[in-house]
Amino acid sequence: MHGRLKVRSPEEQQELVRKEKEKKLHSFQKAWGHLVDQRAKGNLSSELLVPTESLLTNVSDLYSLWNYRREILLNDLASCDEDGKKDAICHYELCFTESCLLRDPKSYSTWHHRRWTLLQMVHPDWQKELGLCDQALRMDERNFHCWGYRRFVVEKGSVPLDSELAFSTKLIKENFSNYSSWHYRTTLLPLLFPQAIPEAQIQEELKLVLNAVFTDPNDQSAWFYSQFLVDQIRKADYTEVMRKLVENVKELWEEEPENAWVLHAYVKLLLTNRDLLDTVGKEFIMDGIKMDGIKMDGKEFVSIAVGKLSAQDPLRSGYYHSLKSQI
Amino acid sequence: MEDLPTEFDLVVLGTGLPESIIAAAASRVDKAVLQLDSNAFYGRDWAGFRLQDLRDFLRSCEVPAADVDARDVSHLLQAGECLVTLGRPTNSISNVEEVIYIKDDVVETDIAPQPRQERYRRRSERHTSGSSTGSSTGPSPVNTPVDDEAFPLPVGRKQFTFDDVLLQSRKFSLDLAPKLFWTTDAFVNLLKTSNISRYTSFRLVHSVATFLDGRIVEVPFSRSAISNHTDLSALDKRKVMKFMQACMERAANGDANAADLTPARFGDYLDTLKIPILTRRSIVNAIAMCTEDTSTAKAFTRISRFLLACGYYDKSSSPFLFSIFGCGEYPQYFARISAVFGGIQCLNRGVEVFVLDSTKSQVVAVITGASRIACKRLVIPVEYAPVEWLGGGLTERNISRAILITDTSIFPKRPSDVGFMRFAKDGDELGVMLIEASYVTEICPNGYFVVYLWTTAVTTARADLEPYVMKLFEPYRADRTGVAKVLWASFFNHKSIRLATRDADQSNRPTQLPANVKLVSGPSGSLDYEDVLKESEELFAMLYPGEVFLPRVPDPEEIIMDGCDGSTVAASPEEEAATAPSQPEASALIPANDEEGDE
Repeated sequence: MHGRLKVRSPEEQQELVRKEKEKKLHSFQKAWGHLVDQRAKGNLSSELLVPTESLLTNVSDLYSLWNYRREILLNDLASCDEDGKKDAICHYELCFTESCLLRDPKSYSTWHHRRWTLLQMVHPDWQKELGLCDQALRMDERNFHCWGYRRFVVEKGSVPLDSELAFSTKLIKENFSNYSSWHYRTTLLPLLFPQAIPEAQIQEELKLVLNAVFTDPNDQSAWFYSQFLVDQIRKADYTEVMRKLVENVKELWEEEPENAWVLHAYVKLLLTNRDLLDTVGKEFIMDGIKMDGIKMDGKEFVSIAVGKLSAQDPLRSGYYHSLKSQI
Repeated sequence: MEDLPTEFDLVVLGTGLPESIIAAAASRVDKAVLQLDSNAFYGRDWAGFRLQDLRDFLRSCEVPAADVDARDVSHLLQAGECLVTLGRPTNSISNVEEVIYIKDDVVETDIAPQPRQERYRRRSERHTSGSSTGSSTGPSPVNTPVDDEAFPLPVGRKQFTFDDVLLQSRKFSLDLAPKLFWTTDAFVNLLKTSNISRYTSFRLVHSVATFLDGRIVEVPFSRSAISNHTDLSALDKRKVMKFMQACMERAANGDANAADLTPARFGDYLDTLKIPILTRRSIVNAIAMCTEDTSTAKAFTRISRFLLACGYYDKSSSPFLFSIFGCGEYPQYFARISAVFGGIQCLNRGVEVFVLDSTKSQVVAVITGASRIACKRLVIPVEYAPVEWLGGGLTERNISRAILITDTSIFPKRPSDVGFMRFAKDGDELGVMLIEASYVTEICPNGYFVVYLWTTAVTTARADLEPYVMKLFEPYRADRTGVAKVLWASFFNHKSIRLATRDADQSNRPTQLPANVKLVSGPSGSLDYEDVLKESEELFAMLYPGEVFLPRVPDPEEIIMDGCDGSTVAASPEEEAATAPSQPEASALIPANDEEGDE
């Protein structure tokens, strides 16, 4: 046949892949055996950094090799008397771990090695590390390895906390379903404002969180953060802010009467503000069991709502009933 | 050139997109395919051009195609056969108006246009560069060396002229029929499953906007965009999201019943939502891409398609992709697949007459030049069909198009790279479509932007579209900064004829059409490739029932090259012998693959 393609069958392709794999395994075992051998002999020659590097590039989780590498490096560093030389050695490690992280951003060993390297340095560049975190979190906003590393960098490098708060805001604006970033705020705000969070700041936080829950009331991450805010508002005794918040949540509940997250948040707010249980509650008419004109107070409302919630979510009915006991 | 073989399974006239898709699909199932195009370039009405070439081409469209000398071909006929001359369509492009907006350089060329065959230089000859093409026309950059480095507009220079733009002619790649892809598009999927995607690359459209109250408004389509939107109150955000979720749920449940969507008119339906007017108009204009009079069910379908395509690549990504190097490349990508699988493409070669058998129910051959080429099946653009083949049932669509070169992005989101915008237009479901692309798409040099506009034609393209251009841009003046300026524009009307219905049972098809002839349409005004793909797929199914449509092209590592890899596979001796002669015709005529070398 003229012009017809000959194509490898799937079996032939599999066979090729298998052969390739076998070859790789063989060379890996050889290199690994050699390094284990050298380590047992106590060889700390820096020439051995090269073979560890080539194995770690492909498999970043070989913690024994990282350990061996650190032993060699410590030996190298000890023999250096100039700060510049030491930092140059460490700088190489930073480049190396960066390339490893690009390939496998969730390797405990690699992140650990990077931390260790920075601690060995005389003049570590923390700003650059922060940039690396930004980049890694842009690729995966929920990489907890990176979040942990970021906190380490912020602490060691004395990074201003308000810029960290701005960073967290930026991430939330990009995608508000980001537990990590909301959680980061709950750790930053008490550090930034050890006494009480100022009212203006609370307003900003509320705007962020209300935008999120109004856009998607089923998003748990924002509700968790709102719980934190409620506690802060109560602690600081911002009555007007609290009143406004209750109103907002009520508004959302009226729009979404069937949504368990909204109802739960509303019930929690009423229970937090005991005075509301008797007063504000009078204006409410419960959907579903309401009859025109019949009003109920906050206590009645909570007990009906708890019934509704535990019917919707029976696995947590015990919790809901504990709410009822708070009336 | 050696002459062509005299017998083919399928002859395709034209290298437009549907023609090339069908040619590729037929070649993939081992049919012998010949694709002929009387133009010197690929793509017919779907083509892309360098700037100077586009100008030449558009000018040539104003001239009626020269009559071909009637050649006596009766000696090529066999007993009982008869000849039918091709339909002589008027040019699909008309009302061409070029406007150079750069002040101080109002050079209008007055050189009489010549017939397109002679004037037009094919796109793949890029290496011959703009200087030679430019020399025959008005503003001539003849003696100026072509600067290969991307340079932004020389803003500070006093005498910036259109010649400066023309110097970069070869860095433009301007499409006659620009389109976008939905990220979830069946066409994109086909490119992937057929492995044609190896030739293609895309850029996500970064902005989707509409024009409201004299300003360009970003359309909030992603969750985060709605959440951060400053014009919306919290409760409005809830309402908008709820509405969008309802559309999605409907789509997920299979869109069952249109009747339960009341009110049936979309505008009335939106009244019931009580959302702010700006958002409402954003939804109508850019997300549903309809009018207030569209039916609610139709609007819902469109909205859900839009929303399903959003966030496909990352959470806040827009629903559209733009093709790097422009849309004019697509016919070539498919033609290339056809060639790789043994198809023959021949440009600059038209067909003058068809040969019919005695009952006039089959086309048995085509006559090209002095040779007769037998074919089992024939695919031609509708306008090539002789009048007597076409009964009624034709619809003619006329689109007004504009291609602009501008200096600044009009989209508020930065950095700008590709944006899509739609203007609402009373009583026109198409509205006015706009695509803006920067140099990142490789369709223009750094520092410039290309803007495409199109709408259903009412009068001439310029009259239809220039008001919109003037809403967005000022004519170029070097001393004006901080505004978007237009340097150059070309307006033209683009006509395309298609069969009104295309039923599989052919009950509505033109009765006089020979049974082995299929007709394909030109580009429509639609934003995407849905109609083209559907048409090509259906036609292929009619041509070759039961055959697979564009199966995956094997990757290079799966292909066994003769003599290179004898160890893994021992092909049977006969097969080896049969494959041994390589395919000279095919490789000589493979669509010019010059981008790689050129960029």
